[in-house]
Amino acid sequence: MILWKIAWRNIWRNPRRTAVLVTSIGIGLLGYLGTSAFSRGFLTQMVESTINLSGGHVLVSAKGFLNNPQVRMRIQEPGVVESLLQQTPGLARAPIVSLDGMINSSETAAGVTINGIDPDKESRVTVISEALIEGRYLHNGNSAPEIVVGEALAQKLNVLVGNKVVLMISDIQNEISSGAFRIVGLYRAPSSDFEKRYVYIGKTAAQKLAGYEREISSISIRLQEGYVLEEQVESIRSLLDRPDLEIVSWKDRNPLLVLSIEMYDASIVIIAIIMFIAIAFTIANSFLMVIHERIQEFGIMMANGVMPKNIRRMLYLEALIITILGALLGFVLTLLLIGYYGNAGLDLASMAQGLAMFGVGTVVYPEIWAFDVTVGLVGIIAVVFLSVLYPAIKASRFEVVDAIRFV
Amino acid sequence: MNIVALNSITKVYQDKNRIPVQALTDVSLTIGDGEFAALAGPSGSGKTTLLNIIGGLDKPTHGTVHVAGRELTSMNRDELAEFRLQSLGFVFQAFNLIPVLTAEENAEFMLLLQGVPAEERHARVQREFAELGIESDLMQRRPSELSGGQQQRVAIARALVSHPKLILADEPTANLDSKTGSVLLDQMKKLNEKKGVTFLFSTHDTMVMERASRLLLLHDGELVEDKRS
Repeated sequence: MILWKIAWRNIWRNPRRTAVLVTSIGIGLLGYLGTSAFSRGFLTQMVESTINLSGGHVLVSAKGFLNNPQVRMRIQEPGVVESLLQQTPGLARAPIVSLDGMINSSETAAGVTINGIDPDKESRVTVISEALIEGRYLHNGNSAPEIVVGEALAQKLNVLVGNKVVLMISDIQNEISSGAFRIVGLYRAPSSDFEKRYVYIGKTAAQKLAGYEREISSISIRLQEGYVLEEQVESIRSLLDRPDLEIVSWKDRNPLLVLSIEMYDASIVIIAIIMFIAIAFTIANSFLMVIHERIQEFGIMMANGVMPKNIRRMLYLEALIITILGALLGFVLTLLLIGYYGNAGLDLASMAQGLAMFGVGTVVYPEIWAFDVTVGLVGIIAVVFLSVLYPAIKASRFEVVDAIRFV
Repeated sequence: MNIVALNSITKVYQDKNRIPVQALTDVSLTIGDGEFAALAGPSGSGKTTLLNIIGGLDKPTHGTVHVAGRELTSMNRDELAEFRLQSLGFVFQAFNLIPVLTAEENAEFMLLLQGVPAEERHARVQREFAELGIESDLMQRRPSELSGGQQQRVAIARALVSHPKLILADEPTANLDSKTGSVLLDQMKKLNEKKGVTFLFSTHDTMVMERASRLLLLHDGELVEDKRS
């Protein structure tokens, strides 16, 4: 108890030094948590873009389609597959006929992926229907010759809503198949590459273009909130259990994105280590000064019966109190900052092009992850204790007789 | 019964230039329970070194030290700290109070370490403060707010409240004016007579030597005279 009292009072003996220490820890923690929150927000947006724009959480397709998306790769009996999937409640499903082909305007042409969708079902899985910036979404009449294209593609083709374009593909018979479609809407995605690549038409129109009867390329599935991805994928795999089908999660479809996340997890620890080393030197330096100023005091205490290990404990108590104050400051600042930008978003319009490359919009919403908070908290405690280790050992090893005489 | 028994104590230390200095040479002596003794001698004669060795603050190069029935030279740092806590009281020339604690907290410091209950602590501290003439309004003041004499009274109270077997006082009057020093010495003498607490001073103050019942004279690290009054 008396050591607590001495530790606490010593902290406020030099308020300016304590303020510097507490601020160093607080700012260090803010720097680390702020950086991680921004990066997490960035990665989350990339993941959400992937899930929300194409394929949902899980994609069921014909075996080999994902690696070689040719027109002949198709689900032969989509009705059977869909009725099996119906057995799992809470899955939103959308069939897709996915075809690689060309889009031609009166001026130019471009290579695209034509997604034949059921507009109503698709809107339950992806957000294309909500991403329209001009015109309207596809009507539920799946066979209507209507098309929705990305804003960037429309600019490239120099077309407007209401103009006609021609889609051309190689059909199931390896014959050139084409059809004229009227542009009814333009959508905007976080990535201009996505806008240039994907166009949307009705499912029946796409089947007709490909020479399919009832076949489709894949079924995208959106899982309910609170899902465990790996468990759900396994459950769907065992439910369908067909060798002609391939069931993959968004992670399987985007190994680079998964790698980025894993690399980020590793890099955030490295960032934390660098920041914490800087803090460690500040703390170690301050505590060495503290010890130098209090050598005589330690001598008096040891002469009066305080064991050397209790001198160490007292210094650790001081470090602990300073750490708690610094961590509180860091967390409060982080909560204020992330609380604000987490809602309002951090507008990075000046970096729009760079962000678009990553499939991220111009506004990034930072988010705090429990993992990062844990790393921050454990890291800061470890750093403070390691920083104080040497000064504390040094203080406890002074010869009492020399310490008392020290001026 | 002897509370201190030194046998052939020699102390050699290295100075700043790492040159060996012989501080004590073959000092043997005993101090009986309840004595009011003083180690006297000129500066550099080894008084403080001997006092530090008896207090377990320093170790001799050769020889054995028995204090309150315990042999100190074989003890480790923790054991010595525990021994000092349970058996000794110190009064230093520079008062050496803990600056962040109040007068009362400084006085009860050793009792807190010993785990004495709060009520008993307060009662013992108040009793010592009353005996040493420390006014109650000084109890909550920190050392920097007290005069030299007041600080030394608090230091004596700290040494006494834990009821040690031996109080070691290193030049306790050196930083005090003669009047304050004289009053404090009288109070310590009274405590020695009343409670039978053994006092051992290191001093070259004649006031201390006059009051001491035994005078041990050191010269160049050797015990040259042992005078009882």
